[in-house]
Amino acid sequence: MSQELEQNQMDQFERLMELSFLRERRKQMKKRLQFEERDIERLKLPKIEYRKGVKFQLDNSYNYDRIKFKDATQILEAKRQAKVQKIKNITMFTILIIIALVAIIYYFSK
Amino acid sequence: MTELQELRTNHHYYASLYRQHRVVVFQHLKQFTKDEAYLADLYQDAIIVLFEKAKDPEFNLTCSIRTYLIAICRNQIFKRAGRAPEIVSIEGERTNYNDWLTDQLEIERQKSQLDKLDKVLNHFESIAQKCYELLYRFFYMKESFSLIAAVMGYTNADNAKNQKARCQKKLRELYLEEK
Repeated sequence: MSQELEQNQMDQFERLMELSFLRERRKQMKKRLQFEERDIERLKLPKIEYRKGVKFQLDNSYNYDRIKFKDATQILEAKRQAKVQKIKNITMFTILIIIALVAIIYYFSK
Repeated sequence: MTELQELRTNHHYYASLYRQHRVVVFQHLKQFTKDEAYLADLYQDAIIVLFEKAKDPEFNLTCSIRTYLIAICRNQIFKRAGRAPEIVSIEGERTNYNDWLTDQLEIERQKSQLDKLDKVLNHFESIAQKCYELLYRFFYMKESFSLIAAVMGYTNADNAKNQKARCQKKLRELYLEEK
């Protein structure tokens, strides 16, 4: 019975975590989309007159909804590419050595 | 690559999607209201609904993304006006806006507990980075255990799943200690 109760509490906590991350995600996305909307509205204005000597810090969409960790598929793809490159390099190196050896053998055989 | 696939793989594609369909969706919705700020709010929520649905691998669209977005916005208009038909169906496509709304209501109902958990999570991030990364990847980025295992160096998906359970338990202990 107590095990069932504990499992129930764990499930509730899991749901709470799910909601916590979901809330954060929705908040970040909403901020980003609000920025996009402001940006579209700004572009619709006829002309923005900047006052001389005043520097404006332009907002950038990359300032919004930053993902804390790099996407797993991107990381794996980068690793795969690095591996392919390494194999290519080793193959090229081996071919070069073989060519050099063949050239040396050919030279001395004459 | 279709828009849906792009939405699944690229975390920030929703912002481009927002710009891409905005004009047509707004034109369509102006028959209900001319208030652009209200329409923008609706449309932003519709994009978020679509993004969340797209994360489900079984989710498929038989209509265009634009039609789907308009359907979600129409559902929201009816719901907010208090005369909600359960689901507006366009071309046989059910928008499942209600799932999104159920989560949203639950978030509002559990606000104090969620605020407390956020505080604990912030602390947890600084003391157990690897655990935090695992939980973040699973809950926020919606990555599968096999992907998490591959990227974080666990031997297999089951191992990553066990590790997640351990991290979650540790976090729960901190949460219960927090006043």
